[in-house]
Amino acid sequence: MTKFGDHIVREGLIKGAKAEYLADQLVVKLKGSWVKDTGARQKVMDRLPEGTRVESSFNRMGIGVFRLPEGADSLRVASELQEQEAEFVDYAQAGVLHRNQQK
Amino acid sequence: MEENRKVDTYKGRRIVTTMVNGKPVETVEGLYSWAQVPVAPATRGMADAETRRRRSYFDLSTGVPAIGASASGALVVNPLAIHRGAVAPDDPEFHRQWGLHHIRADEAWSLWNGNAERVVVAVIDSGIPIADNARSHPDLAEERLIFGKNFHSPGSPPMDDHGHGTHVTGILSARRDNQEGIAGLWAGGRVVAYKVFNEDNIGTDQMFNNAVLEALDFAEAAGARLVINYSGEGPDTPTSKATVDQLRAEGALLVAAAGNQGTAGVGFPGGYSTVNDAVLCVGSVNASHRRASSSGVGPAVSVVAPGVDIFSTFPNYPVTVNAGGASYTSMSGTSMATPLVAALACMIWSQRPEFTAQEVAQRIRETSASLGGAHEFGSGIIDARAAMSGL
Repeated sequence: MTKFGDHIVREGLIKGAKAEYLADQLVVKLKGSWVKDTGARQKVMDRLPEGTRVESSFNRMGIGVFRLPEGADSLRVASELQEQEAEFVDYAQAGVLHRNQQK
Repeated sequence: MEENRKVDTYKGRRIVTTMVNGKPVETVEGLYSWAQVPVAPATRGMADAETRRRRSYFDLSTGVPAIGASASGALVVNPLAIHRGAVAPDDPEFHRQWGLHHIRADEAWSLWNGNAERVVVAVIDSGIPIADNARSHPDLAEERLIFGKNFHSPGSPPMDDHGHGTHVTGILSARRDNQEGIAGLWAGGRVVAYKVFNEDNIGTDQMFNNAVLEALDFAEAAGARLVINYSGEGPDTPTSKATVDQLRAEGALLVAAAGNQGTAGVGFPGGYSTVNDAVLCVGSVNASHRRASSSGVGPAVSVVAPGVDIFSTFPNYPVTVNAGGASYTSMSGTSMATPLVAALACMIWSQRPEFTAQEVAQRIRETSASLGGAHEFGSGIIDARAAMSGL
């Protein structure tokens, strides 16, 4: 199993392209009008699997980062959350890796 | 109007004509350069192990500087030559920085008369050389190099444990005219180093997002324009896209590498240049101005810059890609081309602070020298002199 820090790395398709993603990290962006709404934030967090922790709270762009419990897969959770909370959620995605590749 | 600042003295000394190898050369009266070339190549675990070379300058009136007793090899002494229209910096490895010569950096420097305080450049990479909480590299030791956040070790300074960030930062902004190492293209203004890439040179799109927001806040507080240098690449994700949309909305310019996937295409965030005019996507060429085989191609490529065998700073302690801890080395990739474009953006913006990010990007593109196919080269290779002329 590949790791990034203490995150689990998997390969999957993002927008049809092969990508390395963090299976236990979920990135959620709230829609603009809900960014500062604590009720909307809580509703989104309530939808996440039990055992989910806040890795970084919603920033000024409305992006929050969550650590999913063991066994969860961020691609699947992201898809479900986006469907269930379409009113509040701009998007939900797995955290993905960026690489510098020099020679 | 194009006009170079006329230089009749250098460091208070007259410029005179001297015959060197039978040819008249403008030199600085009384100043000589010396180069000591050891016989043995360095064995520091470098991929491109090379003969170490120490070069410096001395004043004839004070005599030849002492040479270490353990030194071996040839000593070469020459009059210190001047580039008419521009003064070559006294950084002893400047002659190895072919990229600066190809984009006419020294002529651009002579044309610059901006205010460096007007611009901040954020280098979002693997960090800079730091030891005991202090800048540890002599060419990256100025206070204008500011510690940004370390996203891998919160609360710690952005220490480079890989080497990539140090190399990029040196290309962009190593101290110039300090008789040490190399010259950075943008050697005047504030550089904030954010660490998003770890010892394996890997980060995430979420770290990219956080670093950009931090840089935007820093620049706003400083009352300065913001140029962001980013070499990482990943897939097209909503977070990367939203991040570049945000920096555009806040007036910043992102200079991003095209990535090293060659004909497989361009990575992101550089790939957003097709939909976001605050993004310049940079490809890489070699000294023959041919595309580096690994340089990403496609409609997103905005411009190209020298990116093959680029000599720059390196952490002066052991890191992932160099256990020996050499202070300088050569590297290749679009990562090495990108900081030249970011530095040029700083030069332009510091001289014309009323420009928008889009106007800075446009200036760089329209003054580039065409090399042919846009999918490979975009608008062409950047030309620092042309970009600064008439500003």
